[in-house]
Amino acid sequence: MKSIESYNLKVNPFRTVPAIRCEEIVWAGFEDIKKRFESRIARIVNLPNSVIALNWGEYGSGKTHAARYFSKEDVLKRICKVEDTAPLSLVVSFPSNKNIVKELFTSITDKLDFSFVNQTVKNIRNLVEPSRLTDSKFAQKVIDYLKEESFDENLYKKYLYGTLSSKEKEMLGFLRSIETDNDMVDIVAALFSFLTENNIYPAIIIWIDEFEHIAALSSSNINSVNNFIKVLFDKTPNHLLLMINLTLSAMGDRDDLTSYLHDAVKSRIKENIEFAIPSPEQFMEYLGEILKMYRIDKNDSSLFPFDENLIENLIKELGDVSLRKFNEALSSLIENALYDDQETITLDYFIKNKSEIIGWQNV
Amino acid sequence: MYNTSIVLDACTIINLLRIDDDNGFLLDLLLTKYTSNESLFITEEVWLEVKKNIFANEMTDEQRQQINQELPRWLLYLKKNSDITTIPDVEDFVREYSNYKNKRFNGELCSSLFCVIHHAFESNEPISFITDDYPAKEQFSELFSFLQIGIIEDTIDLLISLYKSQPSSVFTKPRLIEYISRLRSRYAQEAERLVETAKRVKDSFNTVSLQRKYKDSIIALNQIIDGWYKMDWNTFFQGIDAYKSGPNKKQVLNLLTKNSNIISVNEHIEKIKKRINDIERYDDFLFKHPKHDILQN
Repeated sequence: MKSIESYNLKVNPFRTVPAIRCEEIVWAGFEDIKKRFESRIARIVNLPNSVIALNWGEYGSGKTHAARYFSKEDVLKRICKVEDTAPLSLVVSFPSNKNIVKELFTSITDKLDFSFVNQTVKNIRNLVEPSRLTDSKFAQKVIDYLKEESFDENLYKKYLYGTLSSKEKEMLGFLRSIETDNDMVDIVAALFSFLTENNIYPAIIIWIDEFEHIAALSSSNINSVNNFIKVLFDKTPNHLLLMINLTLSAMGDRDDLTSYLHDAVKSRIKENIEFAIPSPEQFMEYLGEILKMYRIDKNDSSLFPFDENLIENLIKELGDVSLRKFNEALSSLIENALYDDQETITLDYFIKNKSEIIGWQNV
Repeated sequence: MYNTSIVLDACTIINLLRIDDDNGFLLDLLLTKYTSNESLFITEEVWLEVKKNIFANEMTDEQRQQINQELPRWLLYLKKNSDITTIPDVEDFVREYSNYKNKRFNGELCSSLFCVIHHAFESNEPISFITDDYPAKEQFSELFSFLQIGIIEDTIDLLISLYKSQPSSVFTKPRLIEYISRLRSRYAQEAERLVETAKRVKDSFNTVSLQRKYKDSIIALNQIIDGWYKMDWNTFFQGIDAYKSGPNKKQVLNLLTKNSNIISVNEHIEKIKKRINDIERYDDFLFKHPKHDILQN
């Protein structure tokens, strides 16, 4: 059995699940979509007005990957042309049915670097105080603590999770525990408002992945989600971008999914970005770029180990498929060819092993 | 259905228990609407199925506790198997007429038998069989029609009937929609769980040798996943059948495919979608008749 290096590749480049490790999250091909995201992100930094963008695409079209790529700090810095602080970008998964608002609250606060906020706040002159940003005295106190000299991130997180003792709570100056859904929505809204109005981050970008699961919620939970978004936008009128990833499935088509959004939310939608089914040219471009990124010897710009006529045929055979299916077929070709000690991957080899590579196509 | 006697299937009882509020609003309504013991029936076979399956899916401790408290209330309406099966000719007839020959004696068969016998010997008032098992509904509908004993309906129909029986101050339209949407939630989440499990099982075949060995399973799993995302129910169910009859049976996926809520999940979701639209659009014509209760008293 050969090793992947014999194909002048560091690893098998064709991911069939979205990358998680930073260095593995790369963008190859698909310049159009890339530019649209870059433009939308640059705009949320440079122009006020918080907006929602809906990202539509079939399963395996790259939405989760886009969320992860455009949350990378170096990518954001490049897009926004900033040197020090990139926009805050968080990717959260749509909550399951149990406790919608609490899950959203926890997913968001889990990912925040409160120590950084505390450090930054110290250097801000003319701070816009929490009292100006929210009517809720309770939420004000929760945000006030971020200004403390004696700020302790661990204790703060414990408070947010509800695991702080009453004594500790009193010590930190909080009025009471976080109890209701409204409490949590008020706190997140006040927090985002605080971060943007004080330019602690130039903008806040929240990606909600797998939003189509809203179709599987009860009415009251659908209302909770809408309310959460509405209050967030009411309290953070500037520099908040909500990216909503939607996959069409048996749970609902485009009209169905849109119908679950209330008017107050729909009115904030300023963009629909489509992850269309790739064309043959787009597949070729993607393939060329990704191979280049994973080469050991960078001087090779061919499609090695793939024969060119193999790729043309494969694309034709696959027809209209998602990027994931394309990756799966290429990954399978590489793994099988390595297993069978193939020097290169030829059209003949593909034909002989078609059922292993794209067996699912024939049903 | 209103004003008839009803016989409940296990899936209906389980669905009602799972979508009910903490305070047992639906259960109270159901058991008081049919106050006289002659109006609501559960066969022993159904009861056994309920007890076997009610805790099958994950739930919170509170839910478990609440259900444990509520279960005994159903016992008042229990009809023993001995009341039904001691008339053997009827079972033979029902099995033959409904082409139910090879299937085991289960809740649907038992309930249908009960309806036939009750209608023949106890009361010739119409009797409705409430089930969410659409294949069973299809199989026994002709029998009910031929013998003119009543109709077969589902939990959605029951919910609307309960809604109609109460004034708006007690059972509001949003509340009705909330219960129906919880039902949709149950079906949708079971289907989504199946699809997520199919993805995990497929990903677990992560070497060439595994992929070659379980090629057919992978094809079936791809059909389930692709069918779901392309809204192609034919492919979805083909994939489930192919996986079930294939060589590799990962326990967890196997269990999910056997779940009765999956069998007609598309029909349930479609009907729920339509009914919610109907209720929103035509609620002016969904007349509530609480005055019937007054007339009866």
